[in-house]
Amino acid sequence: MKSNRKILIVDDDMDVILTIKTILKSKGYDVISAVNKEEAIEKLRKEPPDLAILDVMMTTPYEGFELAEQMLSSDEFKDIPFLIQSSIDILTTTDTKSSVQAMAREYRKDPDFKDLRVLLVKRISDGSAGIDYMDEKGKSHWFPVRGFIKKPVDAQKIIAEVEKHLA
Amino acid sequence: MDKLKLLVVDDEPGIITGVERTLRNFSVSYPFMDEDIAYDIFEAETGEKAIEIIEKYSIDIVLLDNKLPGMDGIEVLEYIKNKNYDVAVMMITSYASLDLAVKATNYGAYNFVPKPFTPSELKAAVENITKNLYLRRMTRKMTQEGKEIRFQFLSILSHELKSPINAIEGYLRIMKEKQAGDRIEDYMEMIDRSVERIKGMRNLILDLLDLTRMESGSKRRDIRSLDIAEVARGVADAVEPLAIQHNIKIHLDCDENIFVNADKHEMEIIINNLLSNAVKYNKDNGEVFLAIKEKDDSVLITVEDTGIGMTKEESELLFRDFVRIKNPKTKHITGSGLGLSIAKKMVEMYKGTIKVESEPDVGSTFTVEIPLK
Ligand SMILES: Nc1ncnc2c1ncn2[C@@H]1O[C@H](COP(=O)(O)OP(=O)(O)O)[C@@H](O)[C@H]1O
Repeated sequence: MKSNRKILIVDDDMDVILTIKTILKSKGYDVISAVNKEEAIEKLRKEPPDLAILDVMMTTPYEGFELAEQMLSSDEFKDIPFLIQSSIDILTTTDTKSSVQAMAREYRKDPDFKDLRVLLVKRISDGSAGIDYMDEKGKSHWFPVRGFIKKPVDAQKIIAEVEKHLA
Repeated sequence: MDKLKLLVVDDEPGIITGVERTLRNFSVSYPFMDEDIAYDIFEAETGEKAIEIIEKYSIDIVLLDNKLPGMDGIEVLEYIKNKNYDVAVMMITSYASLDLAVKATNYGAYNFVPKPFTPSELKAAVENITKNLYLRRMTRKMTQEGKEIRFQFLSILSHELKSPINAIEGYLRIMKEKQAGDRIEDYMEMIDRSVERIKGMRNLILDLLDLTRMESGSKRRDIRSLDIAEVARGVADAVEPLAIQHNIKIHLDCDENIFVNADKHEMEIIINNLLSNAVKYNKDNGEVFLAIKEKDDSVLITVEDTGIGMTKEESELLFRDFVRIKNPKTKHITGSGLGLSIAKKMVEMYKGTIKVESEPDVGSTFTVEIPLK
């Protein structure tokens, strides 16, 4: 176990923060938290974490996604890995030839998925993953993510996922 | 101008043209209707044709003769009733027997106009049936909207009740599995938080009781002349313990001898919700000013604090049910989000108003104005 690695939890639900914090602290991680995008950016800047866990819906419906995209496009934060925490089911694919983004595009052609606001896609073989979502103005977005944490929080799974990315 | 579709069913062409001429430029108004109502006129010589037109054009009003070549008027009426169409029917007939009238009424005919009729008799009858139809539709619409609001309220409420239960359940599960260590100390924060969430739930239930008592009108209101300064002092005493915990000073500035005709408990709820917010959303060592003043035949209750304040957008939302502002400054403060909406509803029962002015990090001022007469 690596100790003193720092993890930032961004969630507007205090109980989720406390739960994840307690679980991760018991494994020796340092845990800090933020309740919205603004505070998260402040924390990322002041106390750069080794990993961030982002909730999706905060003050605005896609605040977590916006934060993720902002991190990816900023020189300052682009090397900080993050996991997306969501209760939405993750679509997995076993396709090894095309990219996950191409897989997401395939899903969008399927009538069952084409109108969903958010698709979380993950390839089983190498764990590559990403998010395809439509914002409130109807604009489509795509960005890659390291991984997902499924809500409700489960201690075993969250520890496994975190350790995988901090190994 | 709104238009209703009116169908005349008669086998005498004279009647049809007469009705047509009388109603062509006729319209009906009602003080509370946004627009006058006029008529698009349709015609049918037989019952069979009438039904066809009713179904095709969704007719609003039918002037229906009973004696028709095929199907009788009364049979058309029965058909409309069985299909549950939202149509108002007026029978126009020359041979009205009591038996027929009773039958027609049973089938939901609005009234009976004997033939022949003068243009002004026709207009009066059409005006009546129009107003009746309008009110009937309005009532239905408002009942439906009321149901939707109640449904929305209940779904947020159940979410608000479920969320602390889920949180506490999650904490208990972690403790049961000893996921964070073997000592009780490892779980202190979770225990404190659970207690806090239970407290929040209790307050939510108390707020709900205030709300339902008020909305059902079941609580007997005890309206009497109250010295409002005295009520305010009582509330300030009750809030004091919370203020002491954060070293917040409550200053009172009350004009004496302002008497309001009101229910004491309701006045306490209004002032208490404002004053306890001023303490809750304050900073340590902050200040709160509660003033009671008379101005232009109204009493002004102002509660000012030196607290965290809020932005303009936030202040526009906060009198609604269940609205709570989430940011780093409020994250440790629990509440139901009902306090201010209750206060507003109560203030409005006294034909008063409630307003807020606020600046982030500087403070907020809530002002209640209640007319004294
Ligand atoms: N004096 C105040 N200063 C700053 N924010 C306030 C103040 N009073 C109320 N608020 C904000 O308005 C929201 C709604 O208030 P209220 O309806 O009383 O619910 P509650 O306090 O139970 O959350 C609060 O959650 C808080 O964010």
